[in-house]
Amino acid sequence: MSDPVGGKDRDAYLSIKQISKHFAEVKAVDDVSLDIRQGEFFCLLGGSGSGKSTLLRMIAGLEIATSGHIEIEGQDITAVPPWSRPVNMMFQSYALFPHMNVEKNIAYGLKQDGWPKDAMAERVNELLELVQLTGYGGRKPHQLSGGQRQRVALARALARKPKVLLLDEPLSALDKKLREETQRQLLAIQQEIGTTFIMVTHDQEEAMSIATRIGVMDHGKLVQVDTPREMYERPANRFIAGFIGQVNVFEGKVEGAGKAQKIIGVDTGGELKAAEHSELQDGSTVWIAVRPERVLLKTKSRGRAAKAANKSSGTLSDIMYLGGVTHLTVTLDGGKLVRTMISEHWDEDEAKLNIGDAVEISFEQRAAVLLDS
Amino acid sequence: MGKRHPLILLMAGLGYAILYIPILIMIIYSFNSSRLVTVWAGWSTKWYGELIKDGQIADAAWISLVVAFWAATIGIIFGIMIGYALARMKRFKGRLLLSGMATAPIVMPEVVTGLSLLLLFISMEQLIGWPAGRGLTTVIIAHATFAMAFVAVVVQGRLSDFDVSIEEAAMDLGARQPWIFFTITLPVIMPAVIAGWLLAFTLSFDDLVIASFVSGPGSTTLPMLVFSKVRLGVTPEINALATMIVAIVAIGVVLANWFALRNQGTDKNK
Repeated sequence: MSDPVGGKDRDAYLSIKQISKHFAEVKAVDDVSLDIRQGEFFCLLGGSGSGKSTLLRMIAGLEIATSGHIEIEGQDITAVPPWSRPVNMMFQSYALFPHMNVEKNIAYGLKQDGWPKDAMAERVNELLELVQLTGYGGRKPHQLSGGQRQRVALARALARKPKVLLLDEPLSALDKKLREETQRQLLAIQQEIGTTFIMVTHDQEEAMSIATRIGVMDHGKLVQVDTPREMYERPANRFIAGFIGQVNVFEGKVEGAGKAQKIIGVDTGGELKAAEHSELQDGSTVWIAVRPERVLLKTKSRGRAAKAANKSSGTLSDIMYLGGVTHLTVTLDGGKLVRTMISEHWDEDEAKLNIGDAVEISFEQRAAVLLDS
Repeated sequence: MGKRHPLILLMAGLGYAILYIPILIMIIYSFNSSRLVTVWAGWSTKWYGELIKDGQIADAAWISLVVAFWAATIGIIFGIMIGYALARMKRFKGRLLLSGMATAPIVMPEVVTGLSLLLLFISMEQLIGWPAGRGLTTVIIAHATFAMAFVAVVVQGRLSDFDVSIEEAAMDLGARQPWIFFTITLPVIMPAVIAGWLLAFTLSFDDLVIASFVSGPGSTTLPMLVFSKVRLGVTPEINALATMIVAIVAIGVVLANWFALRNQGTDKNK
């Protein structure tokens, strides 16, 4: 397990050290430190205005950092201009040169580096093959589909064999179905060539499905850096818990100290038991986060017997059938809404669940994550 | 939607009739075989023949073409510079004022432009001895000043919806300015530049007022010649000449629009 924030690493390949970018009064990126390993597929995840793109552009050299350093393989590149950095970027708009055909687009970077003609043609063909566009070299960008342009942009960015490839929302312009297919292609290409990828995205599902590690940004700060699984299972705070997937959050008050310490639910009244339970300050407010799929449902006649540590009763207030799963909302007796879900196999007579049914919800201690912010 | 009201057709018809009937009449009379302009005596192309034989007109036409070519060419160089600067310097305070000032020559009364340039040329001649007297050079400079205003507007318009990340991509791929400008930016905006050049060429070709102020002996442009000839009475020869000018201007405008439209086509790549 890595640190919650920063992800310090001895074998760091790309090292971002306390970097900040201020635009007038706005701190777009605020004191971010991050280590990225070689061969990693790292995702910078965040909403619009979170600073993720600015951070990426600083790595590319397209934005000049207000303070801080960036190192690649131990070499400080903070002052190196973009045209001399050993990184390349794939732009959100693809930024293909509209007046050049695919071949010339891909060869542009090689030409700047003074590659001989034969080697250049060979490299271009190699790249066209990699992105499955062999035979498309003579086409102009406007003669290509969105997915094909995306692949040309990828090939062009990879042409100079960058140490790190930066991808700025590379899939956002594609429709949903094509996006999933392209995600797989992108991952396959990354694994084939072994280049370190840093991708910016606002789509948490996308980040979850392809990243080796995710860094979540909010208001210019790096909030948490972790593997997708750790991020989902052990969110650092309520923001992350709500940002990555759905979550139920119970507010609680800490009572007592030492072994007698308890967390009393503000809405539920009863005691809340969480997985990890370090010493907390008496009287402080904490939150318990539980994923909907970890919330178990029991009706009068059906459902698992609740041996779980946390339970509460309420009424079923909403049923949303989604095919494979059914999403349910339960209104607890105290008025709090809790989301849960059941799979199709939960009960053959699942259709007999009705709004207004008296139910009991429960969740196990190990399913409950304690958050202090 | 889609169903045209007869009244709308009538309105359009009336508007275009007012615009084009005078030109149409002139064109028709240029094919009149009679020496009397207002008396129709059958079709003939003899006035076009007369026109070609007239050395004075041929000279003036050549001068006009030379002036228009150089004015438009000088105009695009400076126009691109202004347009690029205005489109890229997004954040400085006087931008709006500068932008307005760059385009002011378009709306400035030609009499004012002509007079101020004449005064400039005279004082320059007194101070540095150049340009010596009025002639081809002064007309070209004068026309280049408004030509560059037009090009600046066209280029600025094109660059304002230009995807800057294209230039950033070039930079990311190892290129530097001004190389990026010549290999990426200029080729992409080239259709707009050509449209601007054609527009400037056309405007220079039919300018009378400014040319009258700043021209000298030996630099009589075609519109100036037409105007001086008309003062002695309209001849069928002049009708033929004017028809040819209409043709040249029309070709210029159509080409300029064609390039401007082609320009939009390449934007789909964004």
